[in-house]
Amino acid sequence: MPELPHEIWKDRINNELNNIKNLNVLAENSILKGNDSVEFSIKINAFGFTKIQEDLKPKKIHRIFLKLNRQFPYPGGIDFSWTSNIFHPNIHPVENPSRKPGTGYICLNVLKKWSRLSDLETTVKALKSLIRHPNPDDPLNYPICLEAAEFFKKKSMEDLEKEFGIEEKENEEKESEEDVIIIDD
Amino acid sequence: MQNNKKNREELKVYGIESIDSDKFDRQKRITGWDQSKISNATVMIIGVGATGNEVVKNLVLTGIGKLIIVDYDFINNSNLNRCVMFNAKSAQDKDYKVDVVKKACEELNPDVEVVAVRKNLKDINKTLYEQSNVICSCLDNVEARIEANNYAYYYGIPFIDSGIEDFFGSVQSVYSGVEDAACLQCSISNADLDLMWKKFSCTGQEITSENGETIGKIATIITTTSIIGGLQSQQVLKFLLGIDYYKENQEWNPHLGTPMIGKQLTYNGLLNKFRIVEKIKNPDCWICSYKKKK
Repeated sequence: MPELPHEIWKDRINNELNNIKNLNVLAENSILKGNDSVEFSIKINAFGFTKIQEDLKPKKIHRIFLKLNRQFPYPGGIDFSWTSNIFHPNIHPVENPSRKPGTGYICLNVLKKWSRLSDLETTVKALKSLIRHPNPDDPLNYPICLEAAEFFKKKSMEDLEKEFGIEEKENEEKESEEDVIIIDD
Repeated sequence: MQNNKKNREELKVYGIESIDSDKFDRQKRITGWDQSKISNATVMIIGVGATGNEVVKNLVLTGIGKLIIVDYDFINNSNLNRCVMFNAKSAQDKDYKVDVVKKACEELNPDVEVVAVRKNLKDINKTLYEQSNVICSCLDNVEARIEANNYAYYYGIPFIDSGIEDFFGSVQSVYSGVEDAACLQCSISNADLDLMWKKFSCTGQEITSENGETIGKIATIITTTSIIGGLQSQQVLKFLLGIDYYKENQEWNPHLGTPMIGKQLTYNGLLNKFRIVEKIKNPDCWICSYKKKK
């Protein structure tokens, strides 16, 4: 995989971080800049679920740890780990939610098929959209993910939202519709 | 009368010596040629396979000062149909390409200094880019091309890329001294990135073309490689001879012509046609939209 010259890489990362600052997802004081990598956590606000001891609960705030390595922005340049609990067919959080990049699995095409128009902003939006629109037809091969797949096959996110009585603001609803990224993996 | 004849003979002998004793006499007759620019130049050649062999041969015979050759591969029997510097013994011994090319260069022209770097392009010392006056890539994959493009553009070194496949070939030059010219990264497509990712993540097993053959092995013949290698080394010479004039006057020396910067020359051997395509600069390019090294 090619890489950018170091100075350009640094400029690019600074630009990307500035862009996602506008999305208000960066966790405070979480940016750790190294010479060959940049680590940070993001908090995404989206309607999802967690399951703790057979108890299904709605969950709105999700934490993800990201590490941009020297390969960024070429494919394979971002390592993710999902550090908060989530009940989702395509996401498997890290068992020990310490900083362990690449150990929590996320099944999302935009992360693999990195396009030349992709950037951190689209990635964050895609992650947000993934929480809201699980794809139960292609779950990860973990018991909890398979269980989530069965669950979301029976009930759609829209119905669940009404059931759990959470009303999303109108503008948020619009935004999430725009951001839908079709998952065909 | 006799005296006169003797004189003429002397003159003749003297003449032949002056014309034929200088190795580079014929090329020095080109208007605008400056042999010292060639013999003081350092050219980096990335990949010394089929096209690389041709480029190295051309440059060494032209009297280039120093060559930096980068390749980590060894010689196979299947290389022998199109590489002038390799032979059956080197294939049998699985010699490294750089070592064999270095030896062959020293035989062709003992004055040339060859630095053989037996490494993956990713792992080479980045100062090698800065030491070069021109960089050539004679590669078989997109990743390494882009890597070379990125560093060459950043350091402001002219970079010439080539590609071949059976009867077709292309040559493209990149130079960040010409601001509005495109680089290789400008025209990289999503399909290219996809292929890079597949190679990176699936150890190449998944990459098969429509007819089931591995994409890594393409059809090549020496006639195409020598045409493309010839064009590429011509570009190298044009850069070496003309770049000082360009830096002074912001235009290329009319005697030596303009190198194809931001343009791609494509060769179609079936239709016997050459075409020049101007590449469009991408304003959001990952490389040339950022500042280069000062």
